[in-house]
Amino acid sequence: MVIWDIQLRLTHPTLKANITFDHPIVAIMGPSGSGKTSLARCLVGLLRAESSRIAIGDTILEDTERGILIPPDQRGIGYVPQNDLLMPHLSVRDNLTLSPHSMEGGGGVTLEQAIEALELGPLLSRRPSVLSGGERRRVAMGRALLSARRALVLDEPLTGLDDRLRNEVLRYLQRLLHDFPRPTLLITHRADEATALATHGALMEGGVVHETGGIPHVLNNFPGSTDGTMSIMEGTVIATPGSCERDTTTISVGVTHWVATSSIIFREGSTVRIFLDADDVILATSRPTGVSARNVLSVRVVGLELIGGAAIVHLSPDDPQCVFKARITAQSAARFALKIGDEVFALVKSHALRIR
Amino acid sequence: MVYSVVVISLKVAIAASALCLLIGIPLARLMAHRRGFPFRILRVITSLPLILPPTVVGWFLLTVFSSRRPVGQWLESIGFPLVFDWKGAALAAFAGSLPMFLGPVVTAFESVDPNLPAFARTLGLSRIRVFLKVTLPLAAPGIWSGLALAFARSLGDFGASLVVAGNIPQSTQTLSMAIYDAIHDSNESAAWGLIAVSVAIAVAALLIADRQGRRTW
Repeated sequence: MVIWDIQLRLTHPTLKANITFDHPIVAIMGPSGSGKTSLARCLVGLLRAESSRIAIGDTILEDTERGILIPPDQRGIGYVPQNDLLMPHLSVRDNLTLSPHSMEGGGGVTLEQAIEALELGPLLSRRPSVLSGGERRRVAMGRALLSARRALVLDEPLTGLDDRLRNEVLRYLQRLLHDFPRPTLLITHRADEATALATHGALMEGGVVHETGGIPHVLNNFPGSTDGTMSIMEGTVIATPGSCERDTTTISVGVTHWVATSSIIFREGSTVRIFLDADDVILATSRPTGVSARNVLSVRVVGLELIGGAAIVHLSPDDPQCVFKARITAQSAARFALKIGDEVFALVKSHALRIR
Repeated sequence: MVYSVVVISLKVAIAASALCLLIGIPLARLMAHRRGFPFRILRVITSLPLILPPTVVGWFLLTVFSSRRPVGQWLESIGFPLVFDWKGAALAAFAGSLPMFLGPVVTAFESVDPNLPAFARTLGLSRIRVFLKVTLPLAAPGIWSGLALAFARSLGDFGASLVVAGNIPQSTQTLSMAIYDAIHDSNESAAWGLIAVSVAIAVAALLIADRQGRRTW
């Protein structure tokens, strides 16, 4: 069943989207200025597109052809805008209860549950001006949750926070989406946020939605993004530290086994994502011996891009599930005379793999 | 005599301030952020009482509300006469104080971050509730200073009130009219007494407005 159906066309600012998802938690990714916020404003009804069709589940919020336009106050979309927009004249409690739906538990969340989940209790009588960045973000999330009868739209919910606070707010957000599930659209310019929260997504650039699908697929098909050198693969944990006296986690991606070290112990059989930076991959033209790297894979060159002085080599052991990238200098690529179809060996240290 | 003068003055100033709130707030909200031609005309019209001699403003009001005119006749028929009545003085004071009220209040509405009321709509609030719960409280400090100015201005209204309501002791005579009479009659002690009362009322009003108008966020 389609959960998100977003068809938008707008000239100023440029916005073109044709997205449908049958997954509840999706991420819209793209560099800043790519029109992600305009998309969010269209969804919540604060920006009107020239032609549009927006439906969440079986509720049509906008359909220019059929003359349907639900005003923002009746959409039931909880919205966390980029700069929080807490009401400065109201206490935290009054900010949370500003929505008329907050008291009736409209979105299946009561005020008490929201306060508890986001640990807002000690802040209730404070004014927004005395809150820290992370606290403000939590209040904004609670307020959105309490008005989110139908869906949640989060616009860069972790931007502007330092690393420690980002991780803290991310944990709250993960818990929120887990405890109070509802269709959620996350807007972010960071691949790690998208992978941590969403399963599927779309990429935007210049106001246009390019690529949609599962997060790994989307990120791997976007060489222009800041994460263009990050490979993401989905796999199954087949051995964990402790079993057979190992200190590493083994993950099978298709027929390929990756050996990684991880501080988190995953359950055997659980599905995880592997993140691999192209700079952490060494290429060899013949099988090397006597190396410390735990991953030595026989792979084929399936793609080759030259960006400046570097070559991004797309590699795969003839398995579409397992595709990753290596960045080498253009000089090395020329020395090896690399071309698509060549067989090479890829060396990756177990420490270079990050698992989530 | 002092008692009735103070009561009438307060009645006039309170009624004029109430009219400012009732008519001035929607008007200020309408004028904020608007630069089109009709709004420039509106700005000029509402500022006129500030520039015109008060007697002219009084004359305009007298012309419209006199018992010889349809509006005046109708008001008299429903028992709400304005001419030679303290309510006429209140109307004249209102006309004079509206531009003083609009100045800070328009600025206050313009200084409200437009993203806040827009965002509040997504929480499920109707336009009117957004205005009452977000825009109005955020503009409140400016509204308080506008109210203080309007009250102080109404308290001292003289020319326009005199033309519309006359200077009838115990009925329409306000502080400023009584002071004028006292000066005219060379009754210096009465003049000083009335001046002291009007200064006290004005200072008290400004102090209250200053306290209320402070931003608490």
